[in-house]
This record gives sequence, C-alpha cells and structure tokens, in this order.
Amino acid sequence: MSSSNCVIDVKNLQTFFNTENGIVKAVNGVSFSIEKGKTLGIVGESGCGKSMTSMSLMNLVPRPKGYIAGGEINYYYEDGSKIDITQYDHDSEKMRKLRGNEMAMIFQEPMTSLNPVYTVGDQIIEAIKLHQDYKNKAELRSRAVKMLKKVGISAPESRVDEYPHEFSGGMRQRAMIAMALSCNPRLLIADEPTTALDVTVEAQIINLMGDLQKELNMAIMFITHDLGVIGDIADEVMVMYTGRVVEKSDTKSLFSNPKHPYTKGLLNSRPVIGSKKRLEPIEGSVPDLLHLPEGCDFHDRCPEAMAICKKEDPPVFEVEDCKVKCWLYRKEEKAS
Amino acid sequence: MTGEEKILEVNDLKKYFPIRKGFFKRVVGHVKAVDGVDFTIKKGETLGLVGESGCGKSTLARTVLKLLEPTAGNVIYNDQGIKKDLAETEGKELRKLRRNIQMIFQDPFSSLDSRLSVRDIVAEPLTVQGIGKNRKERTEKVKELLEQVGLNSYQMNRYPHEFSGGQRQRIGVARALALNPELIICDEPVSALDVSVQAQVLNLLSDLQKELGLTYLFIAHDLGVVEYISDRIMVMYLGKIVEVSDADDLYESPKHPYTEALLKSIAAGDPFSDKPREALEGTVPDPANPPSGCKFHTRCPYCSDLCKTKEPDLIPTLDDYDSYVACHFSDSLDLKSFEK
Ligand SMILES: Nc1ncnc2c1ncn2[C@@H]1O[C@H](COP(=O)(O)OP(=O)(O)O)[C@@H](O)[C@H]1O
Ligand SMILES: Nc1ncnc2c1ncn2[C@@H]1O[C@H](COP(=O)(O)OP(=O)(O)O)[C@@H](O)[C@H]1O
Ligand code: SF4
Ligand SMILES: [Mg+2]
Ligand SMILES: [Mg+2]
Repeated sequence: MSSSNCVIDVKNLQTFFNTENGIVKAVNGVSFSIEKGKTLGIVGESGCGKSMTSMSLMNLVPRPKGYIAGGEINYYYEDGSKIDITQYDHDSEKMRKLRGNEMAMIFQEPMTSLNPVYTVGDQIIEAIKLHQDYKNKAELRSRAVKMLKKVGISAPESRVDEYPHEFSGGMRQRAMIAMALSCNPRLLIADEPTTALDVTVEAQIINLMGDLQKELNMAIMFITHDLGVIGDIADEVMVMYTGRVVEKSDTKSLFSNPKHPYTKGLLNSRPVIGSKKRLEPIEGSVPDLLHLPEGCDFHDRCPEAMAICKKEDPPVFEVEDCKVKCWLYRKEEKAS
Repeated sequence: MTGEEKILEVNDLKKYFPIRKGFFKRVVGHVKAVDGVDFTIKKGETLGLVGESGCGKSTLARTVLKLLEPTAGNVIYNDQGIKKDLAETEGKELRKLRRNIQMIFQDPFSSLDSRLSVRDIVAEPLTVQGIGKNRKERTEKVKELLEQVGLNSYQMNRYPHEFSGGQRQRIGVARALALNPELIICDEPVSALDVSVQAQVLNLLSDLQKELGLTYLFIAHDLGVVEYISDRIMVMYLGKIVEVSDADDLYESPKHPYTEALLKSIAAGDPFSDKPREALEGTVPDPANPPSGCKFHTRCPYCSDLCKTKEPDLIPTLDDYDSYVACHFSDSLDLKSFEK
C-alpha cells in the first residue's frame, strides 16, 4: 500500500466528538493513501466527515471536544522516513514543522486563514519565514510578490501591500493559495476551496491548482460536494457517508460504473447539461450521527435495500479494484 | 405549456444605490446595480437568470417586486387582462398586486424571526393580507400547504432550527404559495443545498409549476441548474442583460462572448473528456465605476475599438424572434457551443 511514492497513508482513522448527548463519530474507520502528483477527491453530503478527515490530517481537530480516537496517519517524508501524526501533540514542534514545511491546507472561506488586520504581503512573508531561514526584508518582500504573481494576481507589486478586505472573493482565495504554497508543500489539502465561488473564478483556481501540482508534484486531497469538479481533477475518488467510506475507486469507473447506491444517487441528482431527464434525488436526508439506523447507515434512503441491510452493517467488499461498503456485492465476494 | 400571454413586462428598469462619503454623507457616485433592463415573462414559463455574483440579479428581483424603490423604469404586471405598473403603484393597491408575485430566497429563514413556529411563518402572508375568517381556518390552510410541499403537517408547531436545509426551503416554498401567486421569483433557492436535496427541491418546483400553472423567474449561478429548470434564459453582466435565449439554444449556439466565456468555464464533469477548462480572466469590474462602451469589453477576447466607446443595445438576433443579444459583432462571431 505504501509505495515509495506514497505521501500520506491513513489507516482506520477515527475522529470523535464528546457531546452532551453522546459520542459523535464524525470519522469512523477511514483508510486511504495518496501518492506524489496524484489527486484524491472526497465527496459526500454535508456532515459526512469530510472536513474532520482533513482536520485530522493537519492534527487540528477542534479541542477539547474533538479527538482522534484511533487509527494511524502516516506521513512519508521525501527521504522515505515516516511520522504517525496521531502520536504527536497538535502544537508539538514536529507537528508545527510538518504544517509549515510539508503540508498545507486551503478552505472554503479564505478569511479563516487570512488575518484582516495584516496586509496580504505580511501574511505571506510570515508563512515564508516559518520554514525558511531569515532573509532580509527586501528579499522576503520580493518572494511574496513572486508568490502573488504565481497565483495570477495582477499588479502584485502594489497588491502585496493591500489588506484582505480590499481583495475580491476570488483574489482572497488566490492569496490563501499563495500562502499555503509558499512552503512548497508536498501535500495540499483543499477543503471545498471553490464552493462559494462563481464558475468563472472556480475555473481559474482549478487550473491554477493543476499547474502548480504539475510543477511541484504535490499530492492533493480535494474535498468537494460538486461531482463535476471531481470528474475533472481527481485520479481517485472516495465517497463518504456518515463518517465512513462507502465507495472508493478510480474516477473513471466511479462515473462510468458507480457501484454503491449512494454514489449512484449522488450522480443521478446532478443536472447534466443537455439532458432534460428528470432528476432522481436521493430521498430523505443524512441521519443524525447520534441516531444512526440499525444495519447499513444508508438503508432507509436506499432504493435497493434488502432485508439484511436493515439488520447488519455491511463490510467493505472488493469489486473490480473498487471498494464498496454495500451488501449488494456480497455474492461477488464469495465467488472470488 | 408556455403560453404567449405576457404576464410581466419590464422596461428600462434601473436601480442605483447612492455611494455616500464624508461627514455630511454627500453622494459621491452611484452603484448602478441594475442599469436599464428590459424583459418579458410569459405565462407558465420558467425564465432563468444567470450571471456572476455582484452583477445585480438579486437587486433586479427585489426591484421588480418593489421591495426596492426603482430609480427608473416600468414593471407592468398583467392583472387578468388589466395592465398595472408596479413601479407606479403604492399602498393598498400595491399590497393587493403583491399577492400575485411571491419570492423564495436562498435561505428563507435568514430574514425571519427564528422564534416563530412554522405554522406562524407560513400563515403570516395570510394574516397580513387578511385571508381566512379566523385562526382555525388559516391553520387548516397552513396544513394543506405543508402537505403540498411534502412536509408533514404535524411538524407545524416546530421551529426553523429543527429542520434541515432542504426542509426549510420547502417551508419557504409553502409560504410563497400561501396566497396562490401567479409568478414566483426564486432567488438562488437551491444554491446552499447539497446536490441530493437540491434535486428534491428542483423536482418539487417543477411539479408545483405543472400542478398550479405557476410562472417562475429563476435566479441561479449554477449553469447546470438553470439549464435544467428554464425554458428561456437571460444572461446578466454588470447591471445589464447581455443575452436572452431559448435555454437549449443558449448552450448550443451562444450569441454573446460573455455567454461563451461562461460555458467554457464550466467543468466538463466527465473524467473521460479532455476538454480543457478555459477560464475567463480577470474579475467583474466595479459597478460604481463601470467600463465605457460595452461593459464586457475589458474581458472580451473579441473586443475592438468600437466596443470601447459605444455601448451595444440589446436587439433581436437574426435567427429567432424571441432571442436578444447586446454585442456589436454577434452576427459575425463564430462562438463555441458548450461541449463536454
Ligand atoms: N465541534 C463539533 N462538535 C460536535 N460535533 C461536531 C463538531 N464539528 C463537527 N461535528 C460533527 O462531525 C460531523 C462531520 O462534520 P464535518 O467533517 O464538518 O462534515 P463535512 O465536512 O462532510 O460537511 C458532523 O455531522 C458534525 O455533527
Ligand atoms: N443595499 C445596497 N446598497 C448599496 N449597494 C448595493 C446594495 N445591494 C446591492 N448592492 C450592490 O449592487 C451590486 C449588485 O448586487 P446584487 O444584486 O446582490 O448581485 P447578485 O445578486 O447578482 O450577486 C453589487 O455591487 C452590490 O454590492
Ligand atoms: S447495503 Fe443495502 S441499504 Fe446499504 S447501500 Fe447497499 S443496498 Fe443500500
Ligand atoms: Mg466540510
Ligand atoms: Mg444574489
């Protein structure tokens, strides 16, 4: 599983929250790995544990209610050595170095990582300083300008001295990317970075990320609820439901031959340009994680549910190189 | 399905917001959010409205409904054969006209009192308009409306926060239907919803349209959603309509360079396609200080000198009496259709 190109290898990750009403299992046994230069897409409705998966990788699960309850998150350095993130305190020296030098994250709302009281340039300079030896001020500034230019901000020499509120939404997103990339990360975690943007700006940002990925050979974990974007950029897709992975396969098979009824539901809910076919939504909504149904978590929304689905939680079956957590694939398992 | 009868006719509608500066709050300029818009809506159709954020879609919707006072222009509503200009109507008469035109918002509760129960939220328009003899009769109507949008009427004593996003949008639809409107203006009603729930709400809206003969003005920024729901589509840029077209034609043969640019920037959404996603460079200019000539000229790949000085009018296209475009060169340009 962990070839020499592997950057991150997650095994059976569990991230829980202690709440008044019980333990919320936001991420419940998630496994995946991403190689250099590859993009893993993560899709699923809101509340399915996508953001908590990425926060776990950064070791930034909201404390004290949230905590990593089990599993491994192995990060592989360039030299092949590894570190299990779950074994380190979130503000340990090792973790801070990892976040500054090796992995970076971008969010849906850029203002969560941009500070309104500092200029964009000063914030990029701070990010550069974090992981590189101190250079003189002029040098740092010119590096910041270069980063802004790289992410396609026009007139970067003057923009560098502006504050985040003087930037448009798309420009803030670019500035955040500039900041995240100023450490040349080997792993970029993008949590719905284009969800709030217009299609025109989304196209700019996606193209930019693609170019930078080629240049830096980054591994990217791209979270979105837009299957259209996934179809364009991901090599592999992981579909999440109620904190679990219900299907994992390469992007082409996911689109041409989706296996899990939830994946099929997501694909059929999507308006496709040129097709007037009536949409076939998934009925109902994501259950409360504290009141999951008996058996398969998806059974009461599933059009293909069988008797066993109401009683027993399905294991993960391997079907044609895909992993599917669904009883429909039980027979094929026996045959192989 | 789509009759030829015009239900709404908007002429040269403008909405300018003053920009005030300094101690005396002197007006130093205007944001021309809606800057001379013409269109008609036919009875029973869905007219889509797309454009990047900040181009004036919501302002246009609110000005049509006279939730915002128009700066200029007419909004002629066909009230059973009698034409009435909403822009000129006030007071009781306006309130009466408003029964016929309702609005659905992106989040129906962001502007409402979260202390009100669902029953009271849906009953409010009935109470305001004095419909129903008494509370009991209005409650009966609320039950009926909730069932109509696929909710259980026993949930009516609950509060907004107890519902999911999709259910809340259904409540918003129930409220909009309370007064039996003819026209519903939907301002990004599914933009905040997950794709599965979005599909539920889109299906609900089209079912209700068939059942009740409703007419929609449907605002969205998702070009897939707007294509799915609309009969005709208007494309807006910086306070102006730049193209109006039959929904299929818009994607197959765009007439305005901005429309083409929007289509090129859509994700193919298909892992087997190697269509590059071509990004439209730059951002929407400041509406307080719009470019001269054609407002799109600063980003248009086909811009020539004429475009920088002369603003093109929205005129009928050659091949279809019902489509319009505002571009000096639309006849000679060979624009690309949407392809996967
Ligand atoms: N601070 C918190 N306290 C309790 N539960 C939380 C907290 N943050 C997230 N959760 C729970 O974790 C689940 C997964 O959340 P998240 O990872 O943000 O979902 P997604 O990103 O897929 O929308 C949610 O269903 C939510 O109930
Ligand atoms: N009440 C207001 N006062 C001043 N400017 C406004 C107001 N409402 C909207 N605007 C401006 O009008 C323009 C159009 O806004 P809006 O209609 O909300 O666009 P859209 O709905 O297409 O995103 C924007 O530049 C916005 O900043
Ligand atoms: S296990 Fe059963 S209920 Fe669950 S997704 Fe598969 S068919 Fe549907
Ligand atoms: Mg999230
Ligand atoms: Mg709006």
